[in-house]
Amino acid sequence: MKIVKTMIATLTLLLSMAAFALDLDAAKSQGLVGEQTDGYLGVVKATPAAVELAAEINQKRRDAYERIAKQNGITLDQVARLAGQKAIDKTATGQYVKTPDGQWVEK
Amino acid sequence: MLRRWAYGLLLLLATMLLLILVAVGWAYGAGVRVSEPGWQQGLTLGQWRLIRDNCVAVRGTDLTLEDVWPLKIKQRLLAVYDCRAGNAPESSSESFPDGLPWTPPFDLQVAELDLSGLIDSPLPVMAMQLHQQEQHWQLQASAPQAALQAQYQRAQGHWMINSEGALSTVLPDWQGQWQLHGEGSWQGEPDGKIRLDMLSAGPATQSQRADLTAQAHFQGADWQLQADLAQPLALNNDWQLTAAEPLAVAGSGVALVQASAALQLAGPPGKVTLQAHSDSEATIPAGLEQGRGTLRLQGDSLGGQVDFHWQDRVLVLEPASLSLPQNLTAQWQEPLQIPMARSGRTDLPLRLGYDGLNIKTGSSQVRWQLAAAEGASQVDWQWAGDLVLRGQWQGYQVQGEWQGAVGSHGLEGDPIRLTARQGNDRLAFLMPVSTLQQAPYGAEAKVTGNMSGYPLDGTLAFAQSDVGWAGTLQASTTLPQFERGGQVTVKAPWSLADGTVSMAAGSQASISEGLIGQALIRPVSLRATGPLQINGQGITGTVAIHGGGLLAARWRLPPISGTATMKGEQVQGRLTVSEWQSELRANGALGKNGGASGTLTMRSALVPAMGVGLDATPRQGQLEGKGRWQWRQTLKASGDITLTGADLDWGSVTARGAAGVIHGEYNNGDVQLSSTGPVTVDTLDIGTPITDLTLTVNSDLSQWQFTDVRADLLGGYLRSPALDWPSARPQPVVISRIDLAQVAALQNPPPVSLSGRIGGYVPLQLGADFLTIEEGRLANEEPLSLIIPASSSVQAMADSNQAVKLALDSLSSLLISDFQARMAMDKVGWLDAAITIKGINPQRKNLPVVFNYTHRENVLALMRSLRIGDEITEQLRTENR
Repeated sequence: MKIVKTMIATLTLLLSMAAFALDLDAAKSQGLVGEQTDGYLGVVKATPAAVELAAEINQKRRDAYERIAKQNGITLDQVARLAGQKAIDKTATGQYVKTPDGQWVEK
Repeated sequence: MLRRWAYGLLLLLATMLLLILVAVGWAYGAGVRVSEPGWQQGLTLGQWRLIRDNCVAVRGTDLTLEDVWPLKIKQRLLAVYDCRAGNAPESSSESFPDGLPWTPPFDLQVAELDLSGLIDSPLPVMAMQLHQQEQHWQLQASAPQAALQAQYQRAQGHWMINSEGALSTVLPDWQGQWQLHGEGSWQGEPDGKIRLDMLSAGPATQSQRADLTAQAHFQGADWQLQADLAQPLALNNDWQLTAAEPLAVAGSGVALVQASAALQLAGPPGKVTLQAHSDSEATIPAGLEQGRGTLRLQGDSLGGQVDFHWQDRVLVLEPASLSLPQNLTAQWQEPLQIPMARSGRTDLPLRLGYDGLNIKTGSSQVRWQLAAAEGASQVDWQWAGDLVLRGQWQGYQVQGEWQGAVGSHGLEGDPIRLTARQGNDRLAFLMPVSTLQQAPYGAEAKVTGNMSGYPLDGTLAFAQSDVGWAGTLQASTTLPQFERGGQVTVKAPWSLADGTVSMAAGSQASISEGLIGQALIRPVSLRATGPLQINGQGITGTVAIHGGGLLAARWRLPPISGTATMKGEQVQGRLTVSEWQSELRANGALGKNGGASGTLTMRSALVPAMGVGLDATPRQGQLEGKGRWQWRQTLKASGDITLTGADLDWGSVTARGAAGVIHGEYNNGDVQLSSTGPVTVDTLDIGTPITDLTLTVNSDLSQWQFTDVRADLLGGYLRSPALDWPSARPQPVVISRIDLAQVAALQNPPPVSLSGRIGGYVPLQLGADFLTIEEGRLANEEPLSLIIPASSSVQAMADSNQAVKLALDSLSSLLISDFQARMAMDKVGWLDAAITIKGINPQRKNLPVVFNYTHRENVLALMRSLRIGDEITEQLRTENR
């Protein structure tokens, strides 16, 4: 019985993560959020759901950047800017990225 | 004989029984009802009533018939009520009796005589004895601080009355004494004279006293009254009444025949002077009363004059324009004709003004009728017509109409409609009056429109309560700062009494979740924890505040809670952010010019959650601050913030033990920060530990200036007189006494063995997002030594290339007499270094060695090439998975 409960909980967690990922992809596809040079998601078109999604993703990114910075002897800002460049590079065509002068453009 | 006596007794008993039955029958027919009969040293009645036209005219309790001849009755309580028809007017033509009727002798004693149901005056309960013998009536009545004696001799028709007492027995708010004496005849048409003296009279709230004398003569329906004030009479609210000449009035019944008065009321707003007199009887036909007079208003808040005259029981007020207190004005342009009668009607074309508002009547008529109801004279009145309101008030163009009637029976008519406009503000009020027809009055006013850019939709329900007015305020609006959500709803039960509005505990205002720009504002609520009192002194009460916090893409403010306690113009507030262990306390007071000022204190721990939106993560520490603030159209604030024991991380760069005092000034968006004394950091680890760092700081948040920078570094030190960030040009940083042994020890195990000290200067340009080094130079400050110990890695390098092997052999043990290093780095990360080493190798017979080395590398590209790129890629990939 305990094994069944554990399996159900694991399955639920996996499904929720999948749904979350879909939300991020959907938000980018709908032009609600986009990538920035500072390594964090920005809100292109403000909706409560977009703000909440961006805040949650950015919190996770920041935790990861800090861990990477400590492991490699550099600053959090340096990691974030490297990540920002990579994120913009891998942004799909048609999704939004922020230019250095602060404008949102479709890639 | 016995039989005849028995028959006689039986006849007597039958006669007595018959008489009793007749008396009882007569009494019942007269409306007397009795209950609880008994016998205790005479006939007793627990309750009796005299009923007239289904109305209880007299009610008695505990009556004892002590004797039959002469009749002697004792009564514990006797209450008399007015049973005249409710709205029937008193008729002046009612015939007055020719005197008191003949009665058998009697004696009536009443312990408690209650006339409150008969006379609309606060008469005290009295003890009374009414005695009549040989048609000589005598009345004595007494109450605490009042006594009255009256006599009437029916044979001669002579009557007399004497009374005295404290004024407070009949006028509760007054002090002083009264004396009354009257006498005359009453045999047929009554006549007599009455004199009333009020001695040391005046309102209880005033210390000034005056004597008033009034004398009246009457014969039948004709009467004359003359009254005079010996001194000015102080009235409430600092008003004084003076009589320039005695008041003389004469009339017949309720009709005024002659009058002469010259009275003046003087008070804070000014003076009101009344002069009136009847026209000479020689100039008018007999039987017609007429006269004229003037009412004059003078003073700071009073102005105008009303000329009036009366003739044939019609009072005519000539056109007038009056200024009244509180910026009120009244004006009529046609003569107002007012019947001097108990009932009547008149047109009332008026214009009223208040500040910039004007009310003009269209059709306008007042009717009234004096009626007696429930023991008191009441005026049944009603105004009917239509009103038009126009004007400016508080900067708003106000317009309104109403048609209906208002009077002693309340309001009836169309809903009251008002509109108010100012710029883009437009408010429309609508209030039905259907519920204002009779007490308890109540209504619900609706308001819709826009105000200050806020759409407004609200209702104000109110109703009469035991203590005043009460109701519920409900309103909603949407704050224009919000692009989504942000709806404000207010629900507040309220009451109004004695000029104070009280919002009940639980009254609440709330703002729903919404977006301002890209910040998501969680719901905010304000709730009264107790009654909120609102009056001329301001607001008194406490409000609990709860905010769900703010959320944006890069930062977050956790939920906040607190209280605000208001007391008139004072307010104290406390806000806490428990997740941050932060607390802010502020107090303030309204200033005379509409501004406000106060003090504030704050205390907070430094916790990692604060760094969500920053490139640094606070690990621990404490912030405390105190200061002052001032609001006068713009916000100003100043204060000191003390930082102690602060630890911060910028990734692998860490600062430990930071402390300092920063003084801040805020003025309408401009910020100035300056350190008070040095800011110190125990350890700043940038890969190379910098210890005991001290500096001073000045900033406006866009430009930072660090001055007198000092720190210990690798056994030496660094100094910089000033470092600006961002800066337009390089700024020198001097380093000296750097111990090369500690430099070598930075790597574990050290690849080389070094000794000696170097120093120099490194010109740094700190850009907004870059760092450059321009012509940095280092040199030895004493002889240096270098030993490259044998190791597998060194051997591998030597084996790889003959030239390298030769160089390593030469450098393996070196005494350096001259060390020169130059370095530069541009904005995109290209670092150029050139090193020249001159010395000798003691293990090679002091072989002279000159070693030149140049190096060029892009440190940012190097960073990108490191494995962190893979880690970042993985992070970005997994979050999307």
